Amino acid sequence: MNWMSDDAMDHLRRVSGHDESDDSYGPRYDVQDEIARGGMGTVFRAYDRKLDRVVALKVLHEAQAGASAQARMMQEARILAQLEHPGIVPVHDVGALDDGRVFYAMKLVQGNRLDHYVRDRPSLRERLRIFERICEAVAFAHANDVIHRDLKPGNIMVGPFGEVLVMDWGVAKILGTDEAATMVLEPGSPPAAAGEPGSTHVGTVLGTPGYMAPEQAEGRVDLVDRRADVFALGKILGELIDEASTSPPRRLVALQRKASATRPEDRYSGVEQMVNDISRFLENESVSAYREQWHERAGRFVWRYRAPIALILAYLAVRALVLFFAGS
Amino acid sequence: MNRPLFGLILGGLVGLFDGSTAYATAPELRPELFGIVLGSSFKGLVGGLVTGFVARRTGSLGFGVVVGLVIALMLALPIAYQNANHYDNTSYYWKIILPGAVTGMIVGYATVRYGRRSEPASG
Amino acid sequence: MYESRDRFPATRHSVVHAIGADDPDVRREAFDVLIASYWRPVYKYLRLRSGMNDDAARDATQGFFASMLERDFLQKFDAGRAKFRTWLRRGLDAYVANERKAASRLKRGGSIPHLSLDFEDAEGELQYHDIAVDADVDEFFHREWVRGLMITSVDELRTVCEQTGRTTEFEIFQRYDLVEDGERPTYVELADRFGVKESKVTNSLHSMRKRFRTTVLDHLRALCVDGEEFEAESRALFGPPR
Repeated sequence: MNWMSDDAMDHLRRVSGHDESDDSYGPRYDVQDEIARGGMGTVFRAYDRKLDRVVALKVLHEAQAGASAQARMMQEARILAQLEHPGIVPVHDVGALDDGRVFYAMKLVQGNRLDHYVRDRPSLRERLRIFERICEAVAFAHANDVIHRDLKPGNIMVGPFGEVLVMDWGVAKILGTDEAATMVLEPGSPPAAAGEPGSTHVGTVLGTPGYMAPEQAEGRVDLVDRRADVFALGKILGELIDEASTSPPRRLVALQRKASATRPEDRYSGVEQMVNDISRFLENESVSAYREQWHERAGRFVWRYRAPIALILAYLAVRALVLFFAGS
Repeated sequence: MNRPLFGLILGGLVGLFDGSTAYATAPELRPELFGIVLGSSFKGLVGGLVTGFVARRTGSLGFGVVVGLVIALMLALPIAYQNANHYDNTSYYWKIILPGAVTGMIVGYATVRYGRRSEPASG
Repeated sequence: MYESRDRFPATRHSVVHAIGADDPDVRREAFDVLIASYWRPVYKYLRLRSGMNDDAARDATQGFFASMLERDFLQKFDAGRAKFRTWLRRGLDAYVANERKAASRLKRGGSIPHLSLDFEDAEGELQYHDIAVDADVDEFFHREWVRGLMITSVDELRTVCEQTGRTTEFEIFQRYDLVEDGERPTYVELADRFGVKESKVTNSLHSMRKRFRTTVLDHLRALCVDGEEFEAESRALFGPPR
């Protein structure tokens, strides 16, 4: 080698001088396989040399490493750091790789995407229990003024013990903050025009067609609130129900329809109200989304109290038997 | 309400009711009705209390039902034996044991379902 | 301090000290290292700063190093007073001034021991220099010295990689970290080009950078008088150790 430009020299001095490494460890993360690729970044399995554990690194796509993408990535990490909940993936670290790409490290989730997980679990009850847990995590975020805005089966992981983790908070919004810069609908750009189905759009409209609330798809930033997540949850619930049963109970159907109503004001006002109805459904109680006929109510009553009713009937039968044979 | 107390009260009420049915089902025993009701109520009180006590920590309704059944059988058997002997009529066995068993199951079920479970830590 | 010094194994002893050794072989070897590290900055300094033409600068470069040997010049170096580099540059100034006086009296030409230095190359590099920018004398000398250090280290790294079957790693390093104009390929492009995973690219870059740093610091240590100077120089080069 005969010559080295000033640019190359300065670059070399910078990158060989201080990356995040400590000489005894090398770089903290040994980046391994790619786990998933999303609109904003790629998730890699990585080995954390410092803490001797395997983690997941979400690394920003190089091509998009603009300031706004980086800011969004950092916001995602910060939001996750605020939301400490068993249903929300914990974030461990943020930083930049040698080439400047921003990343954050999070728990490596062992499990399956929701849609894959439920494939061999046809029990409606079991599915609803999992759905309840999803709702609880989202409700927790809502209680902390964070809305997810991109809930879909692909962003929900279910662990081997049925534990639920809501992932991918990249387009989450903190309510009450202004973000006109990151979510503006440019006139004439159809929201569902680009991208493969099921993929998250980044740019004009954030979210995933099919799960995105109408007001969100129309880019009405001002109208997007907690009920946008209720809508997405309603859509997810719809899929869970449809795959589990060809004739789902009317109360459940009404519940699902209410959640995914077109107009936000027709939906549940919050995830808590929705999860409350789910719980009531599972307990065989009436749900707010459905006005029952008297016979439905009676049928539900009988079903709900079937054991004591059966015992009392048995007693009466025995007594009748005794009476009948008393004379003989 | 904790389960022994709940069992006691429910057992007493069910026993009272069950005993009273003798007025309709066994008219020949009407003169002895007071004694029958008293005995049945006492049996219910004891059965409910014991059931509530045995099942005070379980979460299983099935277990409650079985406990109620077993205790009811244990209490009904001597009474049935006594009656069968006294009146020299073996039909008393099933006339007494069968309804007693079902009431025992009802008390066992209701005690577990509606009585408050004792926490292991607090005893 | 002790700990961070310890992190850079002293595989080479200080050349500056070895120059004063009794064993002529040791002295000669140390002298070679010194020349290898400093001849380019010296030549360029003479060309660009002292206004010599290429012939004169070649002769003066040869002569300067020869005089160092002859006159026990280096043994006069007092580590307490100045950085070795600065002191060497001042020595060069003095040499040039001396020579200009002597030139009128005596033509030394033939008596200069000939060192095999690739002046053509160094001459070619001069086109890259912007004299107005390289304004400060010490800064200019230092920068050229660093450049030489890095070039030598890259060459050494390449040789080591070729010998140990790490050519792909080195090529990734070369194509990413050694680009001249700052137009770096992306990791993905590199991964595609070499048919490896992206993670292999990042890991290669990391290990090459680490090796590069170690190589540079090895050279640097040899060129420093003592640990203190080495600390200061390495910090100036790569920033404080984290």
